[in-house]
Amino acid sequence: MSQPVVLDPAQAAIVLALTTDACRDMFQTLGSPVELVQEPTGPAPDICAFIGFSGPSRGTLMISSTSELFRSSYPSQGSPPSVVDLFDWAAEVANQLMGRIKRRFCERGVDFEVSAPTAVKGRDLGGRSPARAGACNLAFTIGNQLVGVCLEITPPDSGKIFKDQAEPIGCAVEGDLVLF
Amino acid sequence: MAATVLVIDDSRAIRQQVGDALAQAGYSILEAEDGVQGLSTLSAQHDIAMVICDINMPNMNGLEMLAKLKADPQNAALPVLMLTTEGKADLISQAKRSGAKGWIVKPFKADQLVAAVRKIVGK
Repeated sequence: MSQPVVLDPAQAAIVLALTTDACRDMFQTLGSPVELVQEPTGPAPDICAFIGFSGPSRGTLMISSTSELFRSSYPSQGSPPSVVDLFDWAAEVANQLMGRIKRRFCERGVDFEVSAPTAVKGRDLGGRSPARAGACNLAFTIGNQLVGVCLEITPPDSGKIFKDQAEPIGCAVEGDLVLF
Repeated sequence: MAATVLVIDDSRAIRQQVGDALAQAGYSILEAEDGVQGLSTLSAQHDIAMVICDINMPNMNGLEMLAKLKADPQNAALPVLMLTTEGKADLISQAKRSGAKGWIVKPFKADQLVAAVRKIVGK
């Protein structure tokens, strides 16, 4: 079996910075103060959403939090969301976070294709995954709810996701409207 | 009579959010979960004034759906607004070339969406 390509520390630091910035940008739209935490405490996450991406670099984004967070941030004003609605909203939050991460990668000249997201429910899903090579683990609090984010990324064979002096890939930003 | 807008997105939360905004503005809403279901709805319903469509969906993505819709003489004139987390300039250009009327990068503001729909189909 071939050895996994290892991301060098400088590149890993860029991934961490871009992902942290994208998380802050995304989570502040969910309606409560956002804080990056080093020692996660709070109610155990019970919903986990996943979304994959592929290209020269490939991987998975996972976001886990409580039903309460997804219930309180559910965007529709109609009847209270069902459990299935909460899965669906968690998956959409993962999708929108992936969109923000992708835009930040594009600004550094890196593009990838994104899959359709999905979500599962369980007990004590944990705010963070075990540390492993190529995984960027973050924990935030949004109000009093804990959110875990794990971005696992496998770089190209060169080991470099970001090239020196890469041309940015043009992107519209969140909320932009273009009429043709 | 209220104009009918078909909202195609695999996220029920987004379909509801779009539906809430447009219903308050007086539009009627139909929903579909992906491009396949969207085309099926278009075949069955002939009073749809506009389509709002996501890109990343299972079964058939939004750009494939747009191309098929524009290739169908019965629906070719139907305005389509893309609503997606994707913001890449080349995808936006592709949608424009395929005949889309506009592009919004999620998340959207309700008043912005309603204004765009009004501009495209009128009240």
